[in-house]
Parts: sequence; structure tokens; C-alpha cells
Amino acid sequence: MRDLDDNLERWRAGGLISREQVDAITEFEAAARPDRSSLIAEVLGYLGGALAIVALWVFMAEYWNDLESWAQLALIGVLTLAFLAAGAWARTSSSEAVRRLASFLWFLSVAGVAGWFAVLSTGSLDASSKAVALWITVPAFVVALVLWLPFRKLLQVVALVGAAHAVVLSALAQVEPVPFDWFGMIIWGIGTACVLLAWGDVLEPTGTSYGLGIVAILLGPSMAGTGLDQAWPLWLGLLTAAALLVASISLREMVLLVGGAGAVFVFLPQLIFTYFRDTLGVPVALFLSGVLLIAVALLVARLKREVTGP
Amino acid sequence: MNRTVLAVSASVVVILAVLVAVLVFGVIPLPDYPSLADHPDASIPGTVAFITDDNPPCLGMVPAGGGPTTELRCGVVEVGTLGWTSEGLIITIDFSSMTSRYLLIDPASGEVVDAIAADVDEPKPLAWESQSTRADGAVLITDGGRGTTAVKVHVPNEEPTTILSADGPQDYSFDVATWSPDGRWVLVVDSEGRILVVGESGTPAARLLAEGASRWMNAAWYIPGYPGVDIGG
Repeated sequence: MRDLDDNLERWRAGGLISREQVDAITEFEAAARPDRSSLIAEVLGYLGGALAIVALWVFMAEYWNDLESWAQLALIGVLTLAFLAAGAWARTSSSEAVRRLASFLWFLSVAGVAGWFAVLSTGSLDASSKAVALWITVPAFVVALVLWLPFRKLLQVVALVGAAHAVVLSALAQVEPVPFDWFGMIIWGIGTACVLLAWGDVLEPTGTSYGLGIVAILLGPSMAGTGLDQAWPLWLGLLTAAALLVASISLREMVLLVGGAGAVFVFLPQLIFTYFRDTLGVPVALFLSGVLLIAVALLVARLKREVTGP
Repeated sequence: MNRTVLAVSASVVVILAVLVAVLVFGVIPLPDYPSLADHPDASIPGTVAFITDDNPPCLGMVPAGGGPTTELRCGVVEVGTLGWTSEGLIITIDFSSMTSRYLLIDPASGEVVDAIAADVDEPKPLAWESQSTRADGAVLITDGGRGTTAVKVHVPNEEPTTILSADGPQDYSFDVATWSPDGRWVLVVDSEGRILVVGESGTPAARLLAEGASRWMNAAWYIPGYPGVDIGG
């Protein structure tokens, strides 16, 4: 701010702007500055949350197993309700910093709901190990959805997408035998759906939703390729990468360009190693990967100009 | 069709397509075996002891020819290796104290009748590897991967012969195979904790003796009159 004042004074002395304009700019910038009390509240909120988590962790390590189920439920329940109530109160604040705090508190409350149902299903209901997964993930998903609908912030969509993965995978885990090797494909499917829903302005914030979808698209096929010991999931990943690159140009969306390029960098070397490691050897496969990645990097640099536009 | 509807429709299609693919191609049923409990075979002699997959693990016992499983005792069995003495006592090993010791358990009462200090170094009389070699040197080998698994008999200087093979999910396998004391039967524990009995040459084919056995832990077979495990002491 001092730099701005100095510059304004220098510009006024040079006859570039008038005194009125200096005052107007100063007033405008002062109004745009973040409220210090809100910032302090946010920092204190995060600090308090972190301390509470550490304290809970220490408490759990020492005394958790000595508590009756009802006491465990009461403890997690009270904390979760406190997070929910505090988040609801903070959400209505006019300050962006306090609303970020609300987002964090509601994120914690989703974890609290998952923990509460974990204790309920294992301690009180004595559910089977498979059923426990559904007992935890379904309520967490519902709460994440309910909290995301009115408050579409970064952490809310993270909780929602994470819970969506968990609920689908835990539902599949009920099948006998559990298709663990295929879980990567489910992750890819949900990731692709996330990108599509972000494109359709359904899943918000858009940038975060694209990012979450891309992470799943990067992870899923790699997991499936390893689990199934086959190359086709990697081809699917590469195909998705190409689709992301094409979409990045038509939508002029930088996140998709970065994601598509990242996917090419992840899947292309894996495919080259899959097919050529045994025939050409590791050094040649590495060299081939390097050459192809340089070509992709040049292509991405060219695409970047297309995405950012003139 | 506006963009929102298109995005939702495409998402639903992608998720459904992946789910259908996983359920069709990813859920491969486990191989099924006829049950000896339902149709006992009196030609299979002796008794089989095994450790269950419960928490804490229990010591179970079942007639080798098929029948109901008897739970002998729970909680005291610390490890998975099992054997029988020539006198018909079940031997297991207790690692819970500072000094490892063999526990001799009466199969009639389930009580520990003796405890002998164990030398846990070589030789390991209770290790299932020692029970997978027959008196004539024929060794049982479990083999396979990626959805196909097999039990083979390897006679020295001969090609291994397959006596049992099965297709199933990628993680399905035959984990442990041991000979019956008379060498005419093979006891197999699969990755689902199922105990199977198969003839020495693969005939009669595998039949299900018991379920719920602990994985990677052998089941031990006793036939009166055949030598048991020698633990010294």
C-alpha cells in the first residue's frame, strides 16, 4: 500500500493524474483491502480446528478404546454438530475469509458424519466388515451433497467427489468376489463424469471440479492397468487425454489443457514400457518415451496459444 | 438439448457403462465344488484339523470324509501351523510367551494336555512345506496366477502332473497343498479359506470339506496307524 501511495504521489507530481483521482484510487484500494479482523478470525479458526484435530488424535490414541460406544458417539456427534452450526453461522458472513472458514468447518463435519457412522456401525450395530463401508460412505455422501448444494466452495466439492468415489466403490465391494482390480476403471468413470458435469456447469466450482476429475482420470487407468495387468486401460487413459486436449481448445480452458498434457505424460511412457521394454530394452524404451514426450510438449505449447487466444 | 442436460446425460452414460463393464467382466464367479458335508465319502479315512479365519482364531476339526465341523477351542491358537502326533493329539505352536512351545491338544476335549519347548529353528516339523512331500519324494506344488490356478505333483526326474486346476477371479489361488498321511489324498486350502480334498491323481475330483479356514495356514490330516509329526521332547 505504501508503494501505491508513493507511486500515486509521483504520478500526481508528474501531472499524470489529479489530486481527486489520487483520492479516488486511494479510497477504492482501501475498500478492496481484506478486513484484518476477518483474516484473524480465519487464521484462529484454522488454528483452532487443527488443535482440535491434534487433541482428538491424542485423546483417541490414549483413551478411545476405554470409552463406551455411546460416549464415542456422543463425542463425535457433538463435535460434528458444532462444526455444522459454526459453519452455518460463518457461511452467512459478508467476509470472504469467514466464508472460507465456513467451508473448512463444513468439510470437517462431513468427516465427522463418516466417523459417527463408523462408530455406530462397528460399535453399536456390529455390522459386518463389508456393510460398515456402506454405513460410513452413504451418509457421508448425502451430507456432502446437502452441504455442497447451497455452498459450492472448493472443499465442499472435494468432499462431494471424494464421497461419491467412496460410495460407489463401497457398493461394489458388496459384490462377491470383490472386483478390486477394476476399481481403477470406476475411478476413471467418476473422473470423466466430473469433467463432463463441470463442463455442463452442474458441478461447481468449475475449476476445482475439472481438477478433481482430471486427477481421477490420471489415477484410474494406471490403477486398472496395474491391477488387471493389461494395456487397454492405459489406451483408454491416452484416449481421454486426447479428448481433454481437443476440449481444451474448443472450450479455451487451460485446466483441461494442463490435465490432457499431464495424462499424456502419465500414460504414454507406461504404454511404451508395456510394449517395448522386453523387445527394445529399458534404455531404448526410455529414449523413445523422451522423444515422444518432447513432441507432445511442443504440441502442447502450440495448443496453449490456441487456448489462450490472440 | 442444452449443455447441462447433455453433460448430465453423458455422465450417467459413462458411469453406467463402466459399472456394467465391471459387473460383466470384473465379477468372475469363484469355482464351485461339490460338498462332502452334503455327500460324505466313507472311503476317505481320518480327521482334518484346521485353524479358522475367526478373530480370535479357533481350532476346528472335521471328518476327512465329510461331516459337521467341530470347534475345539478359540483364542489360544496363536499361529497357523498344525500337525498331529502318531497318538492322535493335535500339535500347534504357541508364540505368545517369551519361549515358543508346542501345545498338544486332545481332539476329544479340546484341552491342552502338554506343552513342550519348541526349537523354532530348522527343521520345522509343523511347516506345511514338510507336509507337502510324500514318502516317495513326490512334492505338491501350488501354481498359477491371473485367474488360473493349479495344484501339481512333482515326482523327482519327471514332468509335473496337474491334479487340480481352476479358473476364477484374478486373485483366486490354491495356497497350500498337503498330503494325507497315507499319500492317497491331497488336502488343498484355497484363497477363500475353503478346504478341498482331491485324489492323489486328480480323481476323484476336488470336493469341499470345510469353509472358513485361515488363509496360508495348513490343515493337518490324521489317520490312525500312520506316523505323525515328530517334534522331539
